[in-house]
Amino acid sequence: MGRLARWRGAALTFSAALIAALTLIAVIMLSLDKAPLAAAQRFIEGAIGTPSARADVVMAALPMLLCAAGLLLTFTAGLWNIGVEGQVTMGAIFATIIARTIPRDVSDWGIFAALIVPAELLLAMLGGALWAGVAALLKIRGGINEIFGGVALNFISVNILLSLVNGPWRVGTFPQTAPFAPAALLPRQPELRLSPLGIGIALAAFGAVFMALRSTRFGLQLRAIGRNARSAGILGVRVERNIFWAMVICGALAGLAGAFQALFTRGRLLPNISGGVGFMGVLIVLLTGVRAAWVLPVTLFFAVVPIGSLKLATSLDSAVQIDATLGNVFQGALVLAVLIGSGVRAGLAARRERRSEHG
Amino acid sequence: MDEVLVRTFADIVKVGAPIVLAAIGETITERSGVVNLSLDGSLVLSALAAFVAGISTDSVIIGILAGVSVGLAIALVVAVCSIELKLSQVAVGFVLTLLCRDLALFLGIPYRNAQVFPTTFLPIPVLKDIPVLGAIFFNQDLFTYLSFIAVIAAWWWLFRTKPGLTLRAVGERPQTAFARGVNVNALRYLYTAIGGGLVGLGGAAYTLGVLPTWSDTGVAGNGWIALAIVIFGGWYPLRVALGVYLVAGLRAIVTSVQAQVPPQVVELLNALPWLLMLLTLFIVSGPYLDRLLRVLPPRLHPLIRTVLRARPPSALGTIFEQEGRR
Repeated sequence: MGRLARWRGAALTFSAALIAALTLIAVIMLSLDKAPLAAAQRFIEGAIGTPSARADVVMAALPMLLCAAGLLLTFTAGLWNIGVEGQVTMGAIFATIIARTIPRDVSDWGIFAALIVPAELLLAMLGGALWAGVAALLKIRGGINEIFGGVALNFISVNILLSLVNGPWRVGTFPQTAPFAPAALLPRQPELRLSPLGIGIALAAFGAVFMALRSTRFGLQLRAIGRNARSAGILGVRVERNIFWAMVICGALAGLAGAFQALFTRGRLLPNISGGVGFMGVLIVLLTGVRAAWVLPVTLFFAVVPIGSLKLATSLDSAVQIDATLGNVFQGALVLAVLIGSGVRAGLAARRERRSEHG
Repeated sequence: MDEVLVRTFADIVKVGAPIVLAAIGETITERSGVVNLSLDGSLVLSALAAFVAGISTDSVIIGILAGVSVGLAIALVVAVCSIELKLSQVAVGFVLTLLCRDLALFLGIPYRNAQVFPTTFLPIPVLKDIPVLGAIFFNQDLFTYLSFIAVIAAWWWLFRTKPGLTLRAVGERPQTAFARGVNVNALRYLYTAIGGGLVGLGGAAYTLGVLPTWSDTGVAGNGWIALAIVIFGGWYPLRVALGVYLVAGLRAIVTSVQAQVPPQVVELLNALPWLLMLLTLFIVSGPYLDRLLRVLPPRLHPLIRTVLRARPPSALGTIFEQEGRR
């Protein structure tokens, strides 16, 4: 099959899946006496109608992009790094170690003031990498499947987070830290909620992963392991070492995503700090079928959903007011429909091939 | 025996019931070679379905039926995607678990802590008067008995019947089973559906028995626990049930000391079940069990191996290309 035909097939699958998912949402809305078309209009206006909304979409996309970039590495090697959520959480916690100690006034810090954010980001990467490293070691040394280890580490990271915000780091009546000082936050433009530094870091990370997968020995080895780990090992690929580094790099990027959530999105540490961006990254990579080139547009599309859903949730018009969870339902339904669609397409192609073989 | 202790044990068996049902369902499914990773979302969505159906008809039976059908339907999606469409079971299951959970969170908003389902408490006459055991096992609600039945029935079916042997063969050596005339994929459909139905029953056990109200936070997460316990229990129903009670016991201990220790410690203690499972699996599945055995007296070796052995069904998660008839 030619490149164009493949591309057209994928686009067709995606469109069909999109229609299926939208139909599901419309049916749910109609059954609740809401107006789907009015809601759709309000949703699109709310998500991309104004510069500030578009800025929100871009910023919401960054943590997802970081997670998706890391997961591209692990999925390429055939690893299900479900533990990405915990790695995001640990990143946020590690960034907070520095962020919560920064005073409001750092005017006499001189050159050190410029080092606060880089130090936070590095520590966050260390936290995420550490957590991923544990999952990798459990897999390599303990023979524990990375899905199970990841799930366990996700829950443990949440327990650590809750312990901190309920205990030593708690400020005030709610289980959360105090808002971080401006110097501790990711620098942002005053008029729009936009952080050029954040955008730069996320794009650079994604670009590095893209290039690593495309044209380095590391990427080639990960692909070989993903195809068949045993054959790769026999042919001299150091499977365990590559798996370890794929996991650790993914963890570092997830940790960075956690830092974005704490130092930009929320501006403090609180329960559910990850906001599900790790699992969102898994959905994105699954939707693209682990194809790096598609990750960027799909991530932007996925970031539109929570922003638009939030506008609907806070709308005063009861005909379109609807809980933001429906946005998550839409994303899940879309990915499921794409998976099913690609399965159907592959099945049809196989049948066509068989038929042409037999006569 | 101390009365408080008896009551604690009775409580552990009761709150463990939904997880037992879900984990036994998953054990049966995985024994046939299919991973139903949608467990957590399945549990939450079927819990909601059971609650809504139960509360609007005032009938436990209809509530249970609703829960079971939802669990069964989700499991069938996994089976169809795997068997007909040759998709990764893990991918489909993972997406389904997120989708079903979010769907339940959304659809459950109007029912959040709205009502309490009337009790399904059902003490069994005569048996409940047996000292100690009666109070723990026969003075319970309906779902607790169902969880006992599920464990014993699953064990009996898997290890004491011919169809059970076939079921294990399908999960271990599908090619061999097929060569002996077994319709591998049909059996996988069957046992995935049965397993999903049990997960749905587990969901119903939450909202109609244990809680008994609709609360997403009371259910979510327990499906992941159940999935982990299936591995922890080495795909043996009795060990799986023991694993559930161990986890429920740890939780009971944490609850009982909650008032005495600061909240940050309580939160850390909540991580204990997961730490325990990670540690056990680390020892059991790695090379460390042999090292451990070396320092223990040889007489204990067979016993320890029987208790700790854990090996997944060989064909778990794989797709079987069945030729000819379906």
